[in-house]
Amino acid sequence: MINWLLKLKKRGVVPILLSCFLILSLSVSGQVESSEPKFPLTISVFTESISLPDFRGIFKHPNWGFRIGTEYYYSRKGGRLWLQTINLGYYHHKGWQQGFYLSSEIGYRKMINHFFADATLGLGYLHLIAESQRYQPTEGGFEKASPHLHKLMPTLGIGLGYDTGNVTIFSRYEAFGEMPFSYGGSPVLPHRSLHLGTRFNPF
Amino acid sequence: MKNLPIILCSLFLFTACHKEILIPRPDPAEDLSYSDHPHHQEYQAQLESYRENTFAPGAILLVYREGEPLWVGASGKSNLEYQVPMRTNSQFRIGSITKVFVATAVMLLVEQGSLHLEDHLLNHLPKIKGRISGAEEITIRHLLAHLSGIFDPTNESTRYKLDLVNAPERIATMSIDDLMEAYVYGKALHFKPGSNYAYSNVNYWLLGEIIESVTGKSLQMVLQDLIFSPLSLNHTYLEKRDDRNVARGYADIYGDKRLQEVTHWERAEVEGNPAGGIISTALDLMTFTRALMRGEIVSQPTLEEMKKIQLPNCEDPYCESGLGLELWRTGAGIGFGKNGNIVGTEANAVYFPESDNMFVIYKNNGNGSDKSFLDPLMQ
Repeated sequence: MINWLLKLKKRGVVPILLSCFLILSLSVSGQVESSEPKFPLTISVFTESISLPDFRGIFKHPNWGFRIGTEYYYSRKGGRLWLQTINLGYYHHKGWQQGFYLSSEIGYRKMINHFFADATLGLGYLHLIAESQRYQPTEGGFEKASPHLHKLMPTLGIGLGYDTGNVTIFSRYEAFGEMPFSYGGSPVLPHRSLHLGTRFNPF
Repeated sequence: MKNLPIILCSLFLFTACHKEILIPRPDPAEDLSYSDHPHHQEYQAQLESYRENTFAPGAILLVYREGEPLWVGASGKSNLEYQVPMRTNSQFRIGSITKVFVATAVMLLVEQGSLHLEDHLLNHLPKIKGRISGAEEITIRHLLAHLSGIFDPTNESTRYKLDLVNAPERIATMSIDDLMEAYVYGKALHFKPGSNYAYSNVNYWLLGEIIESVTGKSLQMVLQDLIFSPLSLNHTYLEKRDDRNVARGYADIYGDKRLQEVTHWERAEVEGNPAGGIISTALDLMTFTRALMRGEIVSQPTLEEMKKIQLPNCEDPYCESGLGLELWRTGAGIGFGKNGNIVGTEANAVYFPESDNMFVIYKNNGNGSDKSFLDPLMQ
């Protein structure tokens, strides 16, 4: 059992399992608590690319990802609400990396009738599996190193959506960073993602 | 619906399989040994130390000293995936040393009368008209000496650098025209042409296009006819080829003392490119550099023009550039040559006219390095 856990740790699967556990916990608490605040389930698919935060060529040869998460509402007043999100995401950037992340954002949302706009700012843990070979020094040489990398992930997003009452559909543009990074004199590698998703209460 | 979280978590775990870029296995090859050289152990120790200090998987050093036999040494690995030893005759990317070959080809065309140093860029490439403001004043001389003021996306554009990381395969398929369209056109010149110095790879992108336009041949063919074949540089080429036997490039891109394989970035950025695409060996580089610097490729007056600092009021080592050649002030005196840096490669070829000595040094880690340990050898 210990060997199996160590093997999982070496492969970097532990953070993913922990993340799954966190989502499961949140979902279970959503089932138990019937009164406000509820924990709706948010699911989205997104395109991902490495870029400054702009829209140039965002649909050109996109890399794909998906994300699930939930939201907690701190206050709802007159169509305005402050919220906290927690998300689990995955993307595959062809030839560069696979990314798994657990992130949380503080957000502000303004509702106008059924429509809404929101903005979020957050931080996350990004677990990367590099697709280029990595090597570490040994005495007099180099040997294969683990492809798993652990990074901080600052996020900044804006979104638009429509709430039918039971289900919400939304689109979000999110810039996120991969740090630390050191190529080209930059401490952060910027990514961008464009999400299309839905939010609903499954329970 | 009760099972939804379990299904989603399973999906996450299912996607966590590792996909690695495939690296072709190199062919077996024989090394050339210089171990009977009287200073072999001393030079080899210096090379080993250089490789270790620069965190490079592999390195090659060629030392040519008047009155001594030639020595070439290799250390470490050229390919970490298959743990292939670096050899004295390993092929490697020479990066911007390519510019010396291209400048030499331009000067040979000038000697033949097909080109003139004061020809205007737009006379040869009218398609640029109106796309770079002020480009009508740029001459061939300005391009050769980096006096044009043209924007250099490879060093100045964050968007270009991120595009290279994002999708190297897309950069790899872009022609010079595509690159100009995407990253250069519309950008103002940094200064009036001829009034200042700013290193730009675009100068040599354009020179490559001019050579092809004047000769009607591909740049590879021109270099083959004018330089590679006459000098029997049998391991030197510019065009895109199967590169399984070329040393791989590595870089510590996360600053965590781990090297990442970056050959696919290097290929995307320079393969076939007149600013940095040549693949060669230490011996071929020596043969070319010595022939050039001894006036065996171009005439002596042309060589003097290539060596002359082109910016009239240059007071900084940064702008001490001739036509393709750079002037190096070292502890061993003044040398002429060029360095070549790509993300996973650093190469240098420098010749010292006073002593007739020269060195070629290469490593497959793109970080900069101190090469002053070579000063005593070059005196």
